[in-house]
Amino acid sequence: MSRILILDDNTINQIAAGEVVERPASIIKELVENSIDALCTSITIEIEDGGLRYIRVTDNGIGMSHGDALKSLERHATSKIVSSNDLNNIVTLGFRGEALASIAAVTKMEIITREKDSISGSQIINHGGDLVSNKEIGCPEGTTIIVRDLFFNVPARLKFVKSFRAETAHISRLVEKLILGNPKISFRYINNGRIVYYSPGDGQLKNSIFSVYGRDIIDHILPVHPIGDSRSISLSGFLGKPAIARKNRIGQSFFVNHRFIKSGLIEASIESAYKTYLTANLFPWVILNINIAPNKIDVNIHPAKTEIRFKDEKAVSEFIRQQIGSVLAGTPYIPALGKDSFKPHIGKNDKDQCDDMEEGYQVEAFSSISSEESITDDVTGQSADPKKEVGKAESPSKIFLEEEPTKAYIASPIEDPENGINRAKETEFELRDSYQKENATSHYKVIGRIFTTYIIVERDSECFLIDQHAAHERILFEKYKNMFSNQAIITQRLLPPIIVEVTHGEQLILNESMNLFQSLGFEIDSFGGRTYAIRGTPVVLGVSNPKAFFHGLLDDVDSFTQGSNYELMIEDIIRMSCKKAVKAGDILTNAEVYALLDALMEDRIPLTCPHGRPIMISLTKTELEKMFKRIQ
Amino acid sequence: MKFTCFQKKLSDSIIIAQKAITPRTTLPILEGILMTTYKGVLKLVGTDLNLGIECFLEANIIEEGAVVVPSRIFGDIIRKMPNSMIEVEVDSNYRISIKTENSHFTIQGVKPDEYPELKYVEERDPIEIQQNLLKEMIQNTIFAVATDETRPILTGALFEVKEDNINIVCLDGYRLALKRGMVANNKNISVIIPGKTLSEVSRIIDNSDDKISITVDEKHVLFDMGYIRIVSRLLVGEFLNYTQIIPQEHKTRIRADIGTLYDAIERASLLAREGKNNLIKLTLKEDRLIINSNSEVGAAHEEVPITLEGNEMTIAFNSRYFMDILKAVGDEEVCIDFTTNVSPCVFRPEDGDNFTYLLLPVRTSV
Ligand SMILES: Nc1ncnc2c1ncn2[C@@H]1O[C@H](COP(=O)(O)OP(=O)(O)OP(=O)(O)O)[C@@H](O)[C@H]1O
Ligand SMILES: [Mg+2]
Repeated sequence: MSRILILDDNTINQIAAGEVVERPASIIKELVENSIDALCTSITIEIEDGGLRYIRVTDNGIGMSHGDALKSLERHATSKIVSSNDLNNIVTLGFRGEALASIAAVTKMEIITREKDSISGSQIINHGGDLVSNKEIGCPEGTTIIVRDLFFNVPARLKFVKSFRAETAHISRLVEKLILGNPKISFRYINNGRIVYYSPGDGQLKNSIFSVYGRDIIDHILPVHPIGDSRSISLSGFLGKPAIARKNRIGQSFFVNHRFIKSGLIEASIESAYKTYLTANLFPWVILNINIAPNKIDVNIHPAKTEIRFKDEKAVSEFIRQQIGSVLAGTPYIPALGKDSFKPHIGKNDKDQCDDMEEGYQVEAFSSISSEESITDDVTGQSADPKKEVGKAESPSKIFLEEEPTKAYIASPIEDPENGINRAKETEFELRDSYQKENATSHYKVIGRIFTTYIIVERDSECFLIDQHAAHERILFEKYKNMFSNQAIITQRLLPPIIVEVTHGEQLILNESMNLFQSLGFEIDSFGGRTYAIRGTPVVLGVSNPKAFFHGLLDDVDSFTQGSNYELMIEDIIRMSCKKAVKAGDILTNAEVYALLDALMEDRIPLTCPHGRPIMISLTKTELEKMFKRIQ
Repeated sequence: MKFTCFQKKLSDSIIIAQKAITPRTTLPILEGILMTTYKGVLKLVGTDLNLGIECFLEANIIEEGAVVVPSRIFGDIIRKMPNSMIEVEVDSNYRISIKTENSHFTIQGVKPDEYPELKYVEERDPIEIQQNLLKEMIQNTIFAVATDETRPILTGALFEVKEDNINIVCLDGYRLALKRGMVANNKNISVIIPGKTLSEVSRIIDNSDDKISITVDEKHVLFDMGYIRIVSRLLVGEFLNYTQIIPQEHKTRIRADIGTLYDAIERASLLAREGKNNLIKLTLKEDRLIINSNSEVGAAHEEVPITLEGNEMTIAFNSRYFMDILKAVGDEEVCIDFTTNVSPCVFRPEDGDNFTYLLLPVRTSV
């Protein structure tokens, strides 16, 4: 008896659907990409209940003839490539000819379409791959595809779909990317009957950004003027200033030949260009369009088409890193850190303090000229090249890496001959360098310090290298965390309130976690649409930075997919305040250094600094012996 | 070019011109000071393109000319010279020679051609104000200017002239500072001046009642003291309508002696600082104002005699902001008006209306 059967088409399509249609957002991606391939200038996306019940995508593109519309639902039906040779030169977003067939297999689909020169259009209804109805109707030029009841015939798949809220958030994210990637197309996005996004489609990326992120962000981004050779590779887009860096990559959108893609390679290249401007736990906000000759990439990697392979990865990565690096270097950066460390206060007889103001003011004043109006008009009345003109902020690396406070505590005497006070302490440390600690739990010996940075400690048959800067940060962090948890939550009221605009995805999250925000000390209320008024902000360790806290926490809620975690949010908000809370007086005492060593040796504190760098690495005797080939 | 002049005069002028210079600018020429002979006097100019300062000083001009001098080193050399006559000579390669009786320095200068020209603001119809009054008005408001870029417009101060009143208003979201001055001018002006400009102006002007004249055009402001001219870009945008946010009514009014109140808060904040939160709690009760603060280190309790009208209440503040305001108020007695413990409180003078300060409270969970 033969047991191998050839699967019927519906089953094949359902299996294929598994790869293409992961969730409602994937359907929208396919439909919109088809609309874009159909050369439309406007697209309406409408969803209800997270797209699980209802999705509609309407375009004003070239439409399909009756015959093509029927064919489009068949597997491997495409107008976009003819032979396998074309795969090396893909200029459309679609090319596999299986998206519609796959979607139709797991939904109830309705296609309404009319070609430009046709007198009448067609309406085709298909349920789970079976043709239900097929007729001629009158309709506008272009194509509308309505998709209802996703997975109605594969209930098992429904289990993997998340809540309406989560699916809506996914779709909103996707729509944001589609808007950002297609400034020439006017998008309208409607959720449960309410318009969420509208973009004008005037070809200006700035206006697309405005539609998604609101007015505020425009002051914090720098244009990447098209650079490179359009025939091989070129870049354009916008780079976020460090001040709007986020804690995850949500603010990053990459498009290769207008295709929205995910790419570790691009992420890494961009982040390496930003490296000196951002601390380790922050990710830049970036919108980057990469135009590259189609024969230099391979798109046919994954059915979802969100991955591509660059044929020369090294060259692309190097190009991006260099170009972005030079845009960043040519422009002034507004320090995201340390801004608040300066608070002017002049009393009547407080002349001396005036001078302290200088530094802080300069930084502030320059950052304020980065808004566009100001650039073109300076006191000299010249309207010079903005690149040249605004480049007078402080050198970025200096501002961002405020390391001063961390270096003081056991700096070597030679390095810091001027500082008499430190010296006294150092001697004490030196004296105790060979100090041995003996108690019930630990027994270790401080061997010394190398490169003025790493403390070497020996314990049993293991030796440890401890990064004193990282350790210092960790100690302060623990100390502040402790302090914070013993204090009441403090809210500083604000007047006027700070108005923030969030994306739709963020809005959904925010509404859901409003209580959490309140319990951390925020007073926030809705200000209509996607804007919110922050009327009160938490004060953590004397630091309040309403906008940074707000966005930081929003990012947190977002990343904690398994529900929001109050503890983690608190840690984060403390982390954000930590650097600023460090005052000159916060130099570590030797007692603290030893307390740290004790804690490290007894595994009582995490082995990373608050930014995730390791504090300590270990080397065992066995490992050493292996290196010296004493043992195998 | 060649001239001689007194060390002190030259050094003072350099220090003033340097106030407009940003160290580490990427346009190297802006690290310099433009030095020109000008109708028998010497003119020094420093600018960062947002702010420009021109200084004129008497000198004995022997040969006309111009040069851009490296600001820091030239300034340092002149400053360390003894207070006697200095001779400065610049050759055709812009090498600058600085001579006194016993010293001789040569340093390299730069061709002046590329130095940007300061914006010319035509002095039509200027406002005149005594320097000491302007200085005081700036110093008592500038602390409330916003230092972060969240709302760029708030990094500037509103400078308002309404007939014979001059107002300076600063606002950073946590507090508002408003100072009023009287000058016979009869004009109507409302512009936003960058905080940095105003604070430099307040440092440059004298404590005398000599007049300074202020002219604004659409995008710039010019402060003219005769021998010093400061020109700055204005901030473009709409300042908040501040009169709307100053509460007109109150439920509680207290009067207190500023010195006593300041000292008590300062002491209590020693502990608040320790806890890194600067939190002080004020309880208004009968004829006392009770200040409490605490941290891991301990607890503070201070009492200050007051007169109280209206409801008793408890309200908390950031002690630093509170003290900033008390310092600026300066009078012997102050009235503070409260409404609820989450709404702003208002500091007013005993009589008159020459200032208004507004401070937002903090709310705590316990
Ligand atoms: N909105 C539309 N307007 C005009 N033609 C369309 C539209 N949507 C689909 N089509 C036609 O239907 C065909 C099949 O679409 P489908 O998305 O299944 O495949 P594809 O886009 O060619 O490839 P892929 O599977 O990679 O998306 C397309 O090639 C196109 O000719
Ligand atoms: Mg397609």
